[in-house]
Amino acid sequence: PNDLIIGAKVFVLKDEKEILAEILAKNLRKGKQLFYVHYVNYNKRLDQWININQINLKKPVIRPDDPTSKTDKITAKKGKASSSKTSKTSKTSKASKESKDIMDLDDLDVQGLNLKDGLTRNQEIEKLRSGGSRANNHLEVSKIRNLNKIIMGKFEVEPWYFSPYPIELTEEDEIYICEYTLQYFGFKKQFERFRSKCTLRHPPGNEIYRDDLVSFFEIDGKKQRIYCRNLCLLSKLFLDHKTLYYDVDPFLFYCMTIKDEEGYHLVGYFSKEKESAEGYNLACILTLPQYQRHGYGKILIQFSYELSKREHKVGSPEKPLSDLGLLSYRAYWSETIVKLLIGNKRSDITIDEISSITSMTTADILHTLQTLNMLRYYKGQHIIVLTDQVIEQYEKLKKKKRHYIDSEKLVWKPPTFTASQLRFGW
Amino acid sequence: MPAPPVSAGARFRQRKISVKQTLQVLRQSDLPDLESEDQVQRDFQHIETGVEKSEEEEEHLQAVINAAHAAATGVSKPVKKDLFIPTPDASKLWPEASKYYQGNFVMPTSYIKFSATVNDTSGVPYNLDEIDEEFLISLNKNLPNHIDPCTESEFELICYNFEKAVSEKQPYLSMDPRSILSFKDIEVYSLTENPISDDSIKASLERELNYKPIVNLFEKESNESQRSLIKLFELFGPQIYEHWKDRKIERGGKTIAPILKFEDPSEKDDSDPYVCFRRREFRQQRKTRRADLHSSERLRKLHQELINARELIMLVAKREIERKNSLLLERKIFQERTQVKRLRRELNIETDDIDDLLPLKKKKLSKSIDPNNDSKISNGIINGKINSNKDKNSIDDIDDKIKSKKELREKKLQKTKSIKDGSPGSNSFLKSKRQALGQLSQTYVRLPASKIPDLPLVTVENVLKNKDNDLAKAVAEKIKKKREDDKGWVNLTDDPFNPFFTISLPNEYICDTKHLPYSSIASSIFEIQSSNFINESLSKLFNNEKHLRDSILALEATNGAINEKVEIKPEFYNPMLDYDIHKRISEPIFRLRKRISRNGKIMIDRKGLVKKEDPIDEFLNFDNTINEETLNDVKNDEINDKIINSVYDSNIETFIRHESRWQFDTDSTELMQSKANPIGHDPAKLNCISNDTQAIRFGSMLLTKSSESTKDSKISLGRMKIIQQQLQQQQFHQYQLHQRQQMQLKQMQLQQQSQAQQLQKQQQQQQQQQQQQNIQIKSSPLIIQQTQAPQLSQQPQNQQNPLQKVQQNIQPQVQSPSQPSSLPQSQSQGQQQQQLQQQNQLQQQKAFQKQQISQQNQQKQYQKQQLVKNQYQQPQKQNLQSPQFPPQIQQQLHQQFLQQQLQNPQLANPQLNPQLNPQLHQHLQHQLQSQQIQSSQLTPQMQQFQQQIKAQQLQNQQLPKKQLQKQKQFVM
Repeated sequence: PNDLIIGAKVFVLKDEKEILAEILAKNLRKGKQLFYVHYVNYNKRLDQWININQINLKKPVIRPDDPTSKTDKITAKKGKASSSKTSKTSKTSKASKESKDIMDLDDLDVQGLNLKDGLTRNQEIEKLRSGGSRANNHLEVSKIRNLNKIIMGKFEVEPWYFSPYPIELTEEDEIYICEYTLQYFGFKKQFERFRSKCTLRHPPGNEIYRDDLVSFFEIDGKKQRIYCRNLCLLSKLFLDHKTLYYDVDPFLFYCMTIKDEEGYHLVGYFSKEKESAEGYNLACILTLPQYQRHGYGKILIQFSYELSKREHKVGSPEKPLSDLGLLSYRAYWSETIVKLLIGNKRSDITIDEISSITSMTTADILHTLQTLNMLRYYKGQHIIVLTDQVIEQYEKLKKKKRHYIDSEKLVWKPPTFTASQLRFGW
Repeated sequence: MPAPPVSAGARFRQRKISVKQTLQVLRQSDLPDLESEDQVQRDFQHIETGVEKSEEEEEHLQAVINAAHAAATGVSKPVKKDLFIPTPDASKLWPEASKYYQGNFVMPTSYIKFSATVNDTSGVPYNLDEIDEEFLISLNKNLPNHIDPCTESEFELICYNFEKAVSEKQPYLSMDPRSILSFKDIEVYSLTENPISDDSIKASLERELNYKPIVNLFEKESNESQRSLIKLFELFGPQIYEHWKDRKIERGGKTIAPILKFEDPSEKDDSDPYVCFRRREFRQQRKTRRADLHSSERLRKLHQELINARELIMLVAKREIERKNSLLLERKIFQERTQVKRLRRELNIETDDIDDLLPLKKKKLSKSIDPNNDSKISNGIINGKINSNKDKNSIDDIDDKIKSKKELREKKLQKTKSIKDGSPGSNSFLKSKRQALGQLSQTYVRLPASKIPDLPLVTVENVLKNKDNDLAKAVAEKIKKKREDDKGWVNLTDDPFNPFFTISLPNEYICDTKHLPYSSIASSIFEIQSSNFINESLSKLFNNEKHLRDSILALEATNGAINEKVEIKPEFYNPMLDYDIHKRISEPIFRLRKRISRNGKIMIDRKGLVKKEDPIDEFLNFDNTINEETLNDVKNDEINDKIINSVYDSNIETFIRHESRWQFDTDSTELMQSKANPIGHDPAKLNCISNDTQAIRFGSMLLTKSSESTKDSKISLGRMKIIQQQLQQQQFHQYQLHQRQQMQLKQMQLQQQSQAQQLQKQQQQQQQQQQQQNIQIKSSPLIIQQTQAPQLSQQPQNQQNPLQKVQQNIQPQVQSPSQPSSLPQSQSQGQQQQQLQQQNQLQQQKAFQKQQISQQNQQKQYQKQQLVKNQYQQPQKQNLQSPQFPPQIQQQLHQQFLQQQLQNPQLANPQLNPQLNPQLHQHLQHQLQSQQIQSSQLTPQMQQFQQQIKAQQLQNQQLPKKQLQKQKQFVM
């Protein structure tokens, strides 16, 4: 038990499995020792407080300073990865000298990811100025989930990650979040009083899209600072890579809502830089956990591409993606491309054409084609093969009742900003 | 993952792919040999995911990716159907939710536009919590009975004001929480009116709009009536303050409701994860004066725009308040009426008098006339032609008809109304409603279909058609009139439009009219009956009716100003009128002498300006001029009883002309000038031709004139001798005529003198007479000198004159009778004829020499002409810079023109009509006509000569013609 110090790795019984976990924090509650553990090789959202009796003390405890341990490999992965990547970045930089049209299939470069390694912390902060998300926060405090429960609308939701809500609120068992203004309260009475005064029934912006199911509101971070900050705080609870380092001014927030007789209920949102230097068409994207696994994520993604189509631009989500983000995007990309290719009457197409039709970047398209094993080399040339599996999956998908964005209902002109409006100091 | 054998194909497989490369899209089923060809299963691990490296290998993600990959490649069937990444549970419902989220929300049909912020919609920012609640309950318990308990809203309002005062007054309270403001301080702060606080804005709006209460739309309407802050502070302030202060100190001076942790500039370390939403570094823009000016300018603009917007909104608000009030009043009226109705029925008051129920009856009826009026108007439109052609009676008839119809309709209306009133119970509401409607929409009165008047249907089509017809007719009439006007007028110019004159030729004076169409001079002989010329009947009016004269308003043609004070005698340009020439001859402005200097240079000397005062001063002294004018007028009246002034010798005219000259010296643009004064304008523009065309015309005129003048000079020289002989003969004859007069006066002299002596004397006298005449007539000494050899020597001078004037940039020449004369009046009357003749001959020779020179240097002359042309046009272009230039030239040229014409008769008249009354001569001299008459009776040589003059005049004509018009305008 003395070995159970912060940083030590132990085997923890979870879901009838023994999983290696790293102790991140210790706490004494009601005389009981509690440990906050991170399961190695599992997402941080599964980190939790455990009792000492969940720890298998029979198995060896790996101390953090033990260099010979086998798990060290994993923890040291970062260093390795970065070293391996430095060579890669040099390679890609060499490749970038070649024509932009030519893509190396073996080394498809995910936008914005390759450069991140090897950056110093300062550089990283520097980079944050333009980006909305951020690589793993190395600070210990922020590794530990600080809120236990939020009550939002009619749902009780367990937060996944740390979020810098006022530190006083972390003492509460649950915090109350107003569904419309996203204001947060530690006291129920406060929340009650607030609700009795609040008249807002929808995100405080202009409705730019409305169909039977969802509505989208466009909100300028500069004009609705409080709301957007609240939104960011909330989404940080569920987005590990999100950073709240800088203020919300450079972003536009597109809030997706469903509506009922009470008002417009926030389901998810994505943020978008007013001016993206790296061609991102989306910074952060979140479907609130209470609405997850209903296909809203894909609607959000589709909507982000609809906006790009209106702008006549191609775009890609800001990296890094989260695990859920990656899956959602892959699903959207695959579906979009397969649908396009099957529906296409011509027997040939260029990647560029696909890109201009879908507003997806060529890199994303090639990725997707590769993941689906559709890009083949046949009789001396590249072809796109609609494999049986792909068609099968597509048919299956067609049977599902999916909701799609109807671009005709989008009443939106790309907002334009003057240079001074894009200078975000204040 | 089974590693497939690497085939040869894969080894050389192209790794690069262009996005522009066309790729065949094929189905797997179409490619049976695909699997064998495509042996390479690419290791999908190498495919970048875009997920953070450390997370890429997380087990759940891997599981899903692998499954997807397996499904895609078909290597193995997925084990589980739905593989997903597990997330913490979020499906739990909160049972109390309905307590906090209530109310029906009506979704607007259009997309929501919204710009209010969260704060705008959340009421008082302070939210009371459990601790406050507890305190509040205890507070209310201990209250005396007569005070209503403090509500939660009131408590929040008080606390909010505490917080606000502290946050504004003590932003750094957290440094020393105990130094918190006392209740008194806060009270003073909170209760002093802050012009930008919500409450004071509301109050000021209430004052301004005179409307209560002004509510924020986003604030929830509270059912409880809230007491004012002053009252609340008075009642609960101290107690709540103590409670609040304790909490505040406990919080270390921070707000009681927790707030986000923001960047602290004093702390360099930003490792605190709770610090969020930092400011971005803002590179300060370099401050320059220009940037400052720019931004201040923009601020001003913004301010103005905001003011404008506010004004608009205020007006809208006022309008809406009025509208609301009127609606409320209507509703009240309606209610009152129903009340009256009900009472009547209850009290059994039967009356047909519906006035108290329908006080608006009359008004309504008068309104019902409206459609009739409208229809009348429309009738008028449709039958516009008929109406205009018909006399008044027929129109009256129509009116009567309409009136009778109206009356009929009124009766009917009343009837129906009374019928309706007969059954009040069922219809009262409807009726009142209709009344209200009538009140509201005054322009529309709905009539039953049977009562719609039988009027022809006015369709837009008809109206438009009529309009078109009328237009076409008007145009046709204009064209017709123009044709009539143009009768006998042949347009040989490039001008698109002939001058709009009514011209009749005084045929009795013109014997040979063949050449007239080609003569521009001819146009000046015409009796012009343009709109600005006083016709005969009008002139009679002016002459005979004195009272009419008094009522004349003088309209300044140049600026349109009406001058009532200046008494202007109507002046008539009537050349046939017989009056004393002496009146009209002004002193020469200056004299010009041309001489050849020692080294062959031609010098032009100007004399006669020496004694003049500063012309501008003199000119500016208007009072004198006017006095003078009136004096002169009186004198004139005395001298010649009822002689009407000529345009050309009126001092008023001169005065006005000179005054108007200053109008050219303005800052106004060319366009404005041309509008104000279409005369002093570019001749090219006035002729409606391009500058180039004008230049060519002018140049060619000069050229032909000069060549002709050289030719004619020889002829005329020879002719001059004949003329002189004739002149002498004529003088003799005249003498005989004169002798009789003389004999009466100088009988003694005549008897004593011998015949030969007499002849000489007579000649001498004749000469003297003529001299005297010359003196009186001439305005330029040059011309006097040339009386015997006129056009010949005058020619080069005429050429030179504009040149000279242009070059000298002529000084303002004030024509005044007091101008010192250097005329040959000083010459003794006893001058011998021979001397004079010698003098004349000398001048003739001189002139001839000049002509010879000009002949010899014709090329030179041409160059000169070019120069003239150029310089003549240049000032026109420079109109803006020296605007007083062109009119002067015009005046000069015009004077010259007249002089020239004055000269001619002296030459020709005696020769032609020796018996003619000398007065008539003078009169003719004044005229262009006279010239024409002569020319028609002269020898062909003479005619040629005349034509030469014409050519000469033609160049001047363009301007003088306009000048003439201008002067006529003044007459008006």
